Amino acid sequence: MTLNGFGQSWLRNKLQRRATLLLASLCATVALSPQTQAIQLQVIDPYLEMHTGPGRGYPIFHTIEQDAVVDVVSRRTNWYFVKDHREREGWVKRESLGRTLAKTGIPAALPDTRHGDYLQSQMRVGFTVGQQEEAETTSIVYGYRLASWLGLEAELGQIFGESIDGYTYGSSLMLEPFDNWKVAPFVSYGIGKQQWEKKEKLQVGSQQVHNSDYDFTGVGINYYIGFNFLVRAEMRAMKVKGRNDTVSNTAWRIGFNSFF
Amino acid sequence: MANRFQQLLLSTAGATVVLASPQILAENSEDGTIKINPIKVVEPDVQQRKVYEAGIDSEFFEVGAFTGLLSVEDFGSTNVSGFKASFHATEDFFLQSNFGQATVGKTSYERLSGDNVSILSDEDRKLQYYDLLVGYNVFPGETFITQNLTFNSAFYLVGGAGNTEFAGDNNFTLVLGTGYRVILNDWITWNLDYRDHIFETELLGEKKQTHNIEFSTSMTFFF
Repeated sequence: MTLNGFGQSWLRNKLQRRATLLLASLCATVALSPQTQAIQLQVIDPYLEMHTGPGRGYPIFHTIEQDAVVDVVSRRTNWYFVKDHREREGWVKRESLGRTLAKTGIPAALPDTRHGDYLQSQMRVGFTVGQQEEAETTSIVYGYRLASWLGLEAELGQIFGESIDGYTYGSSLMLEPFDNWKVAPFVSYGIGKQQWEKKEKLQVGSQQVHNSDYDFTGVGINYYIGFNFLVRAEMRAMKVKGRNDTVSNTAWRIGFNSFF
Repeated sequence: MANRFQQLLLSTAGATVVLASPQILAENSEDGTIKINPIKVVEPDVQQRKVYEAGIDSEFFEVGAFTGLLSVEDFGSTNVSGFKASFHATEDFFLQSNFGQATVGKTSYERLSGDNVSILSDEDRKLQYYDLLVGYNVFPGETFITQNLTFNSAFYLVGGAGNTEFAGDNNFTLVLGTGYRVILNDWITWNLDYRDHIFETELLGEKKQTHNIEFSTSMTFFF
């Protein structure tokens, strides 16, 4: 056997072994995937308190002893519904359930959604209510955080004027430099379109619809409540391009968002 | 004696370590220059914590249908029905959106004037609304139906805004209200809601603010 031949057979053997391993691991994944077992955690504190409901004020009706194992069934906001080995069911606060061990002996890692996590990535949804000059506005907002200090948002809304009303849609970038503050200021810039229509009672003859583009720069404050709730106040200096001229508008808005 | 030997051996070992250690970091090469060895970084043997996101069933959304009574100022009371969806952000706060529709009745003026007088066409008597609300569970607690039958419940406040499309107009509407939620089991909820839809209208000549009270009940489902 030449050296070259030896090299080839060695390579072939190695590839075969790799392929077998890959196949085996694939089979293992397929075999395991249908089984979605409840997560079992072992209590390490002297006891774990079970509440009757997922919220403040719900009384503690049972405690689980140290070293006992609980099954985590479901989650509602930051409360977990757990079951002990005697089939007793109750709600445990996330902070308490965090003080448990997984089967592997490693501390339990529960999916956290709090301010810090939100800043790392994630999307958020919410709505705003406000005013653009004399007209009231409402909108639904969908946002995605590109970086801890930079967010991208899309919105769809309605404008209610005295004699005209319409729809608005746009997107904006939000810069939040002090991202770990509970009350965090931000600046924003965005572009969009507004579609105006004269109200029915004023219409004579044909429908009068006109579109106008806008862009704005804004400043505001984000106030983070709890783990994943956000209240926002924003002021926007808008430039609305009409058919012949550009009009400056000031818009105020308050928003409520949640992220997950 | 043993102590002497131990002392000797230990001091020799210590000296070796002291002598050897500079050699690890820096070496004198033959031409006199000092060659610095790169520092070895020891990776800590830490296992990544596995997050059980997929294994735990999260219940944040609540959707359902409602039906009730809506009193439209000047136009009497009528049935209202629609859909609602909520997102429970924290144990205290939730976001909710409602969509409802109703067909309003006649004003007193129309009723008194006989069949010939009608302010609105049948099409314009259709009222549709949507709202975007933020809710706060102000009194979470339990409801005792009998001694052995207890349900979790909450009394909540809601506020927000939306649109009421009525008589061919879009009206910016402020919504304020309260509600009572009884959680029947893991996923079924019964709600009783009281809402005030406030909007301005010029429908009957002069511009005025109208309060339109809604009282409704709904079944919703957590998922």
